[in-house]
Amino acid sequence: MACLTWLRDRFAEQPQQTFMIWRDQPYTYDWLTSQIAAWEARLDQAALPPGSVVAISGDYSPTVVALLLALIDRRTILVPLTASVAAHHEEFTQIAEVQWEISLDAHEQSRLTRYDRDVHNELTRGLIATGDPGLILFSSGSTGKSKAALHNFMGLLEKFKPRRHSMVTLTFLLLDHIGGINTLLYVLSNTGCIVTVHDRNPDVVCSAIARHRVEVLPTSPTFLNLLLMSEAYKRHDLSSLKRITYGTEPMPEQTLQRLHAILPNVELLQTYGLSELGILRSKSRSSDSLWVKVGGEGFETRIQDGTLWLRARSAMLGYLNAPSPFDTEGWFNTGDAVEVDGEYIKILGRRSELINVGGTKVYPAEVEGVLLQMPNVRDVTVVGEANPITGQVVVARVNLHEPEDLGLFRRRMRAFCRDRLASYKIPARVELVETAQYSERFKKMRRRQDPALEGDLDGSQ
Amino acid sequence: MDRSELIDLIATHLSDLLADDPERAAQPIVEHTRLYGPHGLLDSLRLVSLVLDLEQSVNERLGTSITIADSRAMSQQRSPFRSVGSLADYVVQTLAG
Repeated sequence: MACLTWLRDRFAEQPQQTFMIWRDQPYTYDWLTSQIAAWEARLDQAALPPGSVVAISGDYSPTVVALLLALIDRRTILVPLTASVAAHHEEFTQIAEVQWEISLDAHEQSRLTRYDRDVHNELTRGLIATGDPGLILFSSGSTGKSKAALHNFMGLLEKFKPRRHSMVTLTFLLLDHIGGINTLLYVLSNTGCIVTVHDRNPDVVCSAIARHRVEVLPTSPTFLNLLLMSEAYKRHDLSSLKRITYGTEPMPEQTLQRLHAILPNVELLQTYGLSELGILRSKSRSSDSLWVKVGGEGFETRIQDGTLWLRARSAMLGYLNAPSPFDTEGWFNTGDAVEVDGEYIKILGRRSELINVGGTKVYPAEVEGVLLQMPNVRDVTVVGEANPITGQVVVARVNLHEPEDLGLFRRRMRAFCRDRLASYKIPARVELVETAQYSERFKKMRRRQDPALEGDLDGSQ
Repeated sequence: MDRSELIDLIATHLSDLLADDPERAAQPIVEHTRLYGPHGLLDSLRLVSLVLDLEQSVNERLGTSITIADSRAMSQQRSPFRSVGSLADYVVQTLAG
């Protein structure tokens, strides 16, 4: 039996409603329904059987969404791939044991390739045996080698069945990311509208918000920082915007405060999710607060030694290329250090990114937040570096607006930080850098850059 | 870069670092100025900053990539971080390979 009947019934209720704006053109739910049927015919013709591992590569387009839904309904195991991981294509298709690949080019022309390969991985075989559709997501590699997380798609879909309010949502998280999948399923299950952009430059994004009267912008602190620096919000009408959600990395307190001052009528909501467990429901204490309540139906949380642990009904089945990260009771250590205040938590940063200066702890986000307030600072990434005197030292890699002598900048920075940061948190070393310090997914890169996985964003400045 | 140039360079970085401490900054910086240890001008955090600043400017000027604070420096019988002069000596020695 088809597993998306409930979703397709909802599409049928709103045939004339726009489900996506792509390249500034609207596409309706009626169109989506007919495209899913067209893909089904094509997959029948190719004799692509249920239980196959199928990679999809292409832009985030209406056609790709129709294909994705047709493949879920066919109970295949999906592997979404995007251009940003092109350098890892071979590696990823091998790890996932991809048997079919459907790629769409810039003109939406599709090509179907069949690989002569059997599935050996026990986890994948177990999922195929249940007859449920699956999803394989690769971690971005910002914390090490990419890991492939295998999900049962039925588990991910479950939480979208209750109807909720839907709004016009602009997205730039792609379908190879749990956040991108989550946004897509949320919008589709409430017959809302997704607005896509060809470029994630703040002006392009703000212009799309104005033209399509976008109400929700799910994004990352890094993008919001770029938005503030570019002042793009002054050049476009953002009055339609009701909510900005931010996640994937710690938000600098100062960025949040400034954003709230500039957009006082927009609700600023922190989100929390992991490719291993899905996206939790969350509620910020207020728009200018970093305190957030996370959890919701199907999620349990626990704090152990200052670190957040989670257990989720929608958790992945496991990694295809790494040992299970779950303990015997199914709990997952998120690696995120948190502070607790009653029901609320504040995410301080990755425990692995914590800098230990002579036994005292420094979280990069706090130092970044202060340095970002300095005049002439465009962006900054703070990391730890081994040092024989204090164990580790705080190092700041700074992008400037205008060129400045390193010595002068250093003096200015120390003076600026003196009243704002404890002395051990003030960067001991400063590097002035010219390349962008964030990934395709608008996430800060704290490791030395791996150009293949996390290359600079073209034309984003 | 000879010893006296290094002493000048150390003095420049040192006065930068002490900019927020007028009392200490007022003292003349000479070869015998104590850095870290008894009667030293610096706490460990400032010492780290001085060493990293110095490392960065030496490497920038000479196109080298020396490391001043490493396990070798830490295992010297007498700490190279005692005084301006001892630090200059240690850098000269490190540059000489």
